[in-house]
Amino acid sequence: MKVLLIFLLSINIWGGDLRPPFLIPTAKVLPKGIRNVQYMGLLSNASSKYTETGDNLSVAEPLFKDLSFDNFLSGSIDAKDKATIQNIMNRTGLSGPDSFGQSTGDINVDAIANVPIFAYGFTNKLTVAVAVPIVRYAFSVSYGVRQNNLENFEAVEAAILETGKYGGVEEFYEKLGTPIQTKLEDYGYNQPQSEQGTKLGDIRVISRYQLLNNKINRLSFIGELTVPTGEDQDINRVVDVATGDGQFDIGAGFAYDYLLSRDFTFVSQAVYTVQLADTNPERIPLQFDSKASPDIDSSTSRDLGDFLTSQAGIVFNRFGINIGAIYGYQIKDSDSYSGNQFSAQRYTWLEDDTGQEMHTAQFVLGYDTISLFRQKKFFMPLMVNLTHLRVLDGRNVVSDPMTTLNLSVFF
Amino acid sequence: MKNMFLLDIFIIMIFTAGCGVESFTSASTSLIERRSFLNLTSLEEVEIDNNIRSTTLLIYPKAEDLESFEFEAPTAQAWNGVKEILSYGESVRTSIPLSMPAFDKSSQVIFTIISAGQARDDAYIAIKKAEVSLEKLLKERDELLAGTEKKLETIEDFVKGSECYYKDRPGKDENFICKLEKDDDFRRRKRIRDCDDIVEIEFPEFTEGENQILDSLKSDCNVLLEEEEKIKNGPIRDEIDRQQEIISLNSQYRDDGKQVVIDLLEGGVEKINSNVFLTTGAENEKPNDVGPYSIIKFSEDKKEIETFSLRLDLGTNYSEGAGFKEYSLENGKITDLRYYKRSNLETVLEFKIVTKDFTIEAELFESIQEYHGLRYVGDLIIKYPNGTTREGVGKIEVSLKK
Repeated sequence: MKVLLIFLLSINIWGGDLRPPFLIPTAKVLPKGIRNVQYMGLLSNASSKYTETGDNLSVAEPLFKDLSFDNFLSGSIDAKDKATIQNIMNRTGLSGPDSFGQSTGDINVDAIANVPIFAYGFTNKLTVAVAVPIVRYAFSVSYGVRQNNLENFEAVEAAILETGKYGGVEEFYEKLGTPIQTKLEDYGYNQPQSEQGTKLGDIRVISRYQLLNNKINRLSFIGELTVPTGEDQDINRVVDVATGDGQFDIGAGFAYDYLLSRDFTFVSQAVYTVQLADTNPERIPLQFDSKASPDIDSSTSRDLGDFLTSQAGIVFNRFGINIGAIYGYQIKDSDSYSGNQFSAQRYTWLEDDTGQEMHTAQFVLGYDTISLFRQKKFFMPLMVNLTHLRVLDGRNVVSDPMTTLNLSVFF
Repeated sequence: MKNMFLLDIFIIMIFTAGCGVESFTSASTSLIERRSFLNLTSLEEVEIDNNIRSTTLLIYPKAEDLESFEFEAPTAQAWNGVKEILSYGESVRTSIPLSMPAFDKSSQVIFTIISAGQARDDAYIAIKKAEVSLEKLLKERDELLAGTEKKLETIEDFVKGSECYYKDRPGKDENFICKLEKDDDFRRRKRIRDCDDIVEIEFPEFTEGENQILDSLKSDCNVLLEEEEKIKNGPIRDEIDRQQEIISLNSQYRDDGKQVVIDLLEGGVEKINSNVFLTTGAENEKPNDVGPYSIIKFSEDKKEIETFSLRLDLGTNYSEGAGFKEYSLENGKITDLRYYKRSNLETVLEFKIVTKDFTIEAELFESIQEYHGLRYVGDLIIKYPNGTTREGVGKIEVSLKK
């Protein structure tokens, strides 16, 4: 007897499209002809995330599923298997909520994103920069099971024996010993393995046009274009590090600085980004509470939600020392999916938990040699900043803190 | 300037090389400790009847077969019977609406078929248990009756040839007033043959002592007659009747289970898709008045099957035509027969049934059960010339010799 089951998996590491802010917002532009090369190294670990309701849970939380008849039945993709499970359940006098234990899992993702940023001052007002993220990652996944309710096992075993298919008993215990692996195989996923690698992320082109620059105020218009050079999530992998989403984004916004004093500057920025619609292969969920599915629509219409990123804070700069504290708020609309291959409701389940919000606090400590270089007391103008970012609250975003090292050279 | 640029690239390369990343995980696991162990009867330990008691081959409809399918059970009595015998009978739906998603229709049809099969199996076990009980009860009754009748015979032998004479026939519940000698008034003769006669006579002329003997004899007769009555019409009789009723009721349940499947597949699904069907071989008796049973015959060591022949009626939708036909190794309509032990738990019977319209591949698993006897139950795959395949279930049952 083919028994089971289960349930849901599918985790998108790093919480989707909202990206934590790492750079200090500024309305400054490069002088004409000046180049700037920045390197940003981002250290990140994804082990927990904020859910739709704002709870902070492990990213492996979807792996913890009750091995109940309800879950077995709702996850069945074969009509004969579903009928057999229902018959066994009825024969034993058990019911939907009766369970055999719980599947368990552990996921850990560590990553270093190396982002060289090349900027050039085309004019005294216009600066264009290109950021090329390169992500080195390692993730590991392990699956387990905690079995309980021995009487339920024995009841099912007796029911299987009554059918005369004695081999079904061993098959039953085997599959309930590896529930996640069994379900992945049934659904046609690659069996997850721990992995290390390096991937290119989405290249971003950022332009800044200074509209106002007097002694106290600076205002710049920001235009952004994200090019889908990164890797979208592989739909045959339950756990995957995606470094892009496979479609173009266009953003526009403003940056504003206000010089509070010689040393203190109020900095702020707000950019609204439109994610352009496209088609993408997707696994269409079988049930509302699991993204795992055997069904693939290779031409799913997808419109990822647009998002707004905003930051505001205070930066101190004196004698080359930079200290900053910046609050960030981002919000993203839910994604929208549609297609023709399966029922409309199933496509809407892809949209669940895709709306995002993120409140961040960014602390910056750095040093630059720009003033010393101007005084010819240092051989090159460079800047080093260490940024620590904490996600204060959020919705459907990774909650782990991140640390960035930023090295910048002007020439 | 160039040096600055090269220095930049160098710095970037250093940081890009950087440290490695590592990641470790460990998910918690705990498994239950199984207490049970399987103690299976093997074929070598039993004697079987070579005649196959029943054969059933069912092909399940796929979801796409049922897009335009809707169903309302036509024979309420049969469906109610199945629902009655099953402990979960209320889960068996008697109607399938057009609006139900095709996948759900498919699983519901299959669930109903499995349930009907379960009802038939449960009924069969109930019949067999009742037959065993009935046999014991009849034996007990016969033994008790034999004992009582022997005692009654003794008394009969004692009074054999006796007679008396009475004047008038007694009224209801009155005794015969008798004399041993005939006279002018007491002229009608009454033979005294057994206890029934003894208990209804009186002799006014008897002395006290003679009446005491007569009363004692009457008392013995009453006890024996009461005993006989109790055996024939008392609790044992009630229990015999009860077991016979169980057999009758469960025989009806078996018919009900069969009718449910016929209603659903032949009467329902086949109307919209003739490639879905059921076929059954003979059950308990020959399929018709002439012709043999379905047969399975093993070698002496029971490791090989020497004869395998099924009598099946595939219905009117196929070129084989309606009516029971033979499918056997001999006539080549059964091929690729394999009988082997796959593991400690699984002995497998595989074969193919080949016709012009389709090929059925069967993979059936052997079991020997107390009431069902020798059974082969498992999966079927039916393949059509156009490449379509469907799945189904097959069952072959063979009785054990006592």
